[in-house]
Amino acid sequence: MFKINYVQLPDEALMQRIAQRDERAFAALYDRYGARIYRYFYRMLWQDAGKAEDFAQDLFLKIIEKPHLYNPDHSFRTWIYAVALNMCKNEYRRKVPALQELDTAFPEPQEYFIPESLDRPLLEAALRTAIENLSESHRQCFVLRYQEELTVPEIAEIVGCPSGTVKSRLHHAVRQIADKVSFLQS
Amino acid sequence: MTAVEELAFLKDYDALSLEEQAFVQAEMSRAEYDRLRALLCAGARLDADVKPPDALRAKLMTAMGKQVRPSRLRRVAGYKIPLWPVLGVLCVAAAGFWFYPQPAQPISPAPIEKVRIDTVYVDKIIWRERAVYRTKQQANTVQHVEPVAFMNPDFKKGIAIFDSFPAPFDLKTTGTSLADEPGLIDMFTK
Repeated sequence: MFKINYVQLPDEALMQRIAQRDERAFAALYDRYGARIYRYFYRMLWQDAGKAEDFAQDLFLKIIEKPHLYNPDHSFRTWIYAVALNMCKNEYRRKVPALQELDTAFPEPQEYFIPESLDRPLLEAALRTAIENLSESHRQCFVLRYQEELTVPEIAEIVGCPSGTVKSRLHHAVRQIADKVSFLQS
Repeated sequence: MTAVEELAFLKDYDALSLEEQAFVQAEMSRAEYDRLRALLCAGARLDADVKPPDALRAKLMTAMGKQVRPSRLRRVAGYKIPLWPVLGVLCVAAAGFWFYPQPAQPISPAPIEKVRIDTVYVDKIIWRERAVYRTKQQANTVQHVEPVAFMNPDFKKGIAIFDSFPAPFDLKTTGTSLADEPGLIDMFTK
């Protein structure tokens, strides 16, 4: 009669219980967000599975050790993605010098191999490359909207800019990707 | 109006309303729309089967288990009690206590104390001396008398309250002759 159904509890209630060291609440939260956050890091950090695992672990350890950092007045979903995004930004800053060296040594090819017919693995490969070649801000918006399937207002809150800016970035990101992949689809 | 990209991400061309189809047609052809939709759907499917290793969950659950669970008292003390509602309730309670009309208490007379002095003379006869020594002993007894009547608090309003009901009919208690009351005659003769 008094058994709590953790699966049905909202994220915010789970976080309150995690602050009280409720292990089952954490398990429920991880089952809800673990795969999504891992995939987000995987997409944002150059499809590096090791990095994605390390970053997801760090993020969930933060939730375990410092649950008070979450402000229950805000949506948990946007909060966790905002934290993940900040971790990615820090990693980009750390990585930028090394990447710049690589860029000068091996200039990025601007043209792709054009296949005879549309092939799904090839399309995915080209799509992945096109997404990676987007600027940081455009890639953030594209991944959050079309891969993590967050809404535009949620993305605006995570990224910290108006909804109009997010829409504009999404439009340009899609255009850039479409331009680069259009040869595959035509 | 929703952007074409949003429509392409959410709906197939045939699922669009007429208004939406007109909006799309103003921007691009149906073939372009279909290509855009295929592109966005492929983007959404990209890496969709990537899953975290099971060891990660186990590690995190171990870390969670190592966290010290606070005592029940600390958990109760940690609950945030909203201040303003509590203050509001206290203010309302204080105002109610202050302004609520107190029920009129019956005014009772002060208790009556009767002091009775008991005097006892104790005689001590000493026969050898042929004398009687009398000592006077007095004892004061304070008698508390309970008040027999209370002033009705509603007296000012002009309501009289009797301790007993008046007699249901007027009996002639004096000067009644047995001859005038046949009932009484019967009672005595029986």
